[in-house]
Formats: sequence, C-alpha cells, structure tokens
Amino acid sequence: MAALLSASRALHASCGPLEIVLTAEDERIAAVALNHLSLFAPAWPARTRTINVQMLRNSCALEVSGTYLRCGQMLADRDGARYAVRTSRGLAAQGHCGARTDVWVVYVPEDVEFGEPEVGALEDIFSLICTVGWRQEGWIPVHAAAVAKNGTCAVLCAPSGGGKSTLTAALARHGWQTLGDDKLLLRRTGVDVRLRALLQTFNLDPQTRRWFDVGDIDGLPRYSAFTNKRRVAVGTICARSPMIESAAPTHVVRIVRDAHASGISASPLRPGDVLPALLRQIVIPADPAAARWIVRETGACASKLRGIELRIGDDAYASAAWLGAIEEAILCE
Amino acid sequence: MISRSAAVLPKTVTLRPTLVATVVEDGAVLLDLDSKYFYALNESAWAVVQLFETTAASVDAVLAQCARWGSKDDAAVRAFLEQLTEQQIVEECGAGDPLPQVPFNGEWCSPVMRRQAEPLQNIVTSAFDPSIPLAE
Repeated sequence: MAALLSASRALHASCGPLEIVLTAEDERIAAVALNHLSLFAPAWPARTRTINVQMLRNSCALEVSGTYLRCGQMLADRDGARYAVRTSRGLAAQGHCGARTDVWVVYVPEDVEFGEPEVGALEDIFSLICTVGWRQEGWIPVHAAAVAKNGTCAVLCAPSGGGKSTLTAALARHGWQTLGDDKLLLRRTGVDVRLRALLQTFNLDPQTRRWFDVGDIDGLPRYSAFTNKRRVAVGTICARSPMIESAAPTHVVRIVRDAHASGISASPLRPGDVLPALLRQIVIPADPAAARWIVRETGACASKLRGIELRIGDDAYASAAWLGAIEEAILCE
Repeated sequence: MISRSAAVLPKTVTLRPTLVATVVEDGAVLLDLDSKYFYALNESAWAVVQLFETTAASVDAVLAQCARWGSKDDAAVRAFLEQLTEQQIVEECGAGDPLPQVPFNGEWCSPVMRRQAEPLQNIVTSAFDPSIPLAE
C-alpha cells in the first residue's frame, strides 16, 4: 500500500510520479481519499511532483460551469494555472499548479452525510487532481489495458464494460504480461513511446466467472462507488504474477464486442484510425490549450503504433483455440 | 465519407480555434472540441488546411496554391472547402493573409475528409474515464 500515516498527521500517497500530501480535519474522509489513492499501487522510484491537498469540512460557494471538463457528477473550470471544481453532491475544490508543486483545497460541507455518492464525488475530485498532475509531468492518462509478449505490447482499447479487463485476464492466463487492465500513463520520450502501469489489481465484473475461476469475486471490494466491478488481486487470476511496470507499446487494439458473432475476427486499422482509437480512451478537456497538447502528444505516440480491430463474439473465451487466434492476430500483425 | 455539401463557400476562410490537429502517417486528424467529432484528412486535404490553420486565406489563393501542387480540378478543392464550411471546421474571416509556406512533396490527389462515425462524449464518467457516465 502506497499510503502511509506519518507522525506529523500529514498523510502521504504515491501515485506514479506524484507524491500526494494530505492534511484533513475529518479522519474518515481522509481514509476514503487514501483508500482511493491506494489503487495506484506500484511505487515509482522517483516522485517528481508534490501535490499538497488540504481537506476541509466546510462549504465553498464556487461558481463552476464546466468550461474545462464536464463529468457525470462533476464540473471543472480552468483559468491559467488555477482550477475550480464542483460536484453534484456539494463537494468542491480549488487548485493551483506550480512548477513542481500543486496546491489543492477540497471542501466537504459539514451538513453532507458522507455516504456512497459522496465517496464517488471525492473519487472524482482526486481523479482530477491526479490527472492534472500527471499531465504536468508529461504523462497522458489512458483508460486502457495493456499486454506484452515477445517484444509486442498492445494497448487494448474499448469503452467501460467493453471487454478490456476480460481480454487482459484471459491473455494473462495465457502467458502474457500486463501493465494493468484499466489505467495507464503514456508519454513520448524522444523518439520512443513509453507506457507505465498505475494499478496492480484488475477490475473484473463478477460475470467473468463464466470464463475462468476468479475465486469468491462477489466478496471482494468494489473498485469504485459507480461500478459493480471488483478489485481482484492478480494472483487470483494467475499463479505467477504477470504484472510489469513499464513497456514500449507497439500496437493499438480496438476491441469490439459482438454478441451476435461467434469467435473472433481481426482486421488492421487504417493509420488514420489508430489515433482516434487511442484518443477515445483519453479524457480530452474542452480547454483548447490542454486538448492541443494531449492530441499532439498522443498523435506522436500513435504514429509509431500499428492498429488492429478485434471483433470478439460472446463465446470467444469458451475455447482455448479462440484465445490462440486472438494471440496470433496481435503477434502477427 | 461526408457527402458533398451545399454550403455557401465564403471568400476567405480560417480554421476555427476549437479545432486541434495532429499529423498522422497518411495525413492528419482534426478534433473539433465543440462537436467532439474526429476528421481524418488525406495528405492533400491536410496540405490545404495548413494554408489557413493559423491565418486567414482567400479561397482564390488556396485554389491557386493547389494548382501549383498539381491540382487540375478546382471543383474538388472547392467541394472540400464547402465540406469544411458545412461542418463548421472553418469560418469566414476578414481579408486574407499571405499564404504560409506549406511543404507538400506527395502526389496530389483530391482532398478527402472522413468524419468518424461517433463523436467523443461531451460528458465523461470521470477525469480519467472518457466513457459515457452511467445513470446514477
């Protein structure tokens, strides 16, 4: 676990290149924040940005219209280096990005009962704090899975519930290594492209048990307040951990689930479709300056990757032969 | 592919500030931050767009430049500019600026723009997850 309680009452969490320092008036709310941040488990050898977060138990009347980002339960505005955030549950935040340090204040109104919706709102705020920090460090957060074998590293792209985790788990059981099934960081480093892992657990739907043994998945903690997926230790899926922390991606795989098809079919993506496939896994703020940087950097990364579309039928994992066909499609493209 | 439009072509055009572009192997990809649609442009189309990416260009000057690049069909370039106008990728502006130097070393073909079928989500699940939010 990356979070530690220090003697000074400041709470520390490592989230990839970020060192997050929390101070909180309410220990329960601090614990919720730390629990969320503890998802980002692989501690990087060096943290290059510090984010100081003060959590206050009072209201803050912020006018926020969503000019930077509009989420289901949260709006965010940006004015230069300053951010203002408001959630539908009344939680709010203000932040300022500095050269090496960001400062945030998170407001949780005193009269708010801190139930599951408020946990979700707090998770939303911390997701924003982290994504802003990662981008400041040159990393693009990508909501995708990645698998690697024999010098091939494929970024698996699909919307939520689109089969990223299931395919990752299936390939991990087939000898592939993985950087995770849900959250990655991507960046260009000179002429190379780098992917880093952020999570060391899989987020699997209990229905995955249809295809392989995932133990007592119903008894596991939910990954987030908004989903039925469970946080599953990788060891539950594979006896030998297939996790790796970093890889150079070679492929983008667009997963299309087709309930009416049988087995799998694979076809190459046109070069002009590789970038959109990747960008669909990335939150692009409405703010043109932020969007321009993300699109340009992702474009530079995508230009070095080959694209495949995998159309996966409902029975694709029922037979080892189909899994072999998936593996062949990725390795041979 | 976008069907040929009946949009009225202005005399001068410039790329709207909500468009962001990046170069890909066979042209470029544009993202409209307002509509959230992606557009894949072939090399000729990307060369044309660069003529007014950061400045204003008169349509006549654009047509003349395309002819120097090898275009023998003004109508195809006009149709492309009409598509850009109809999709609100470009807007009319004042007087045209001098055209910027845009390198184009490929073989000229008709400019083609292909809009991706589905736009990005306007409202996303979270700052990390661009999926459509689940109902509460």
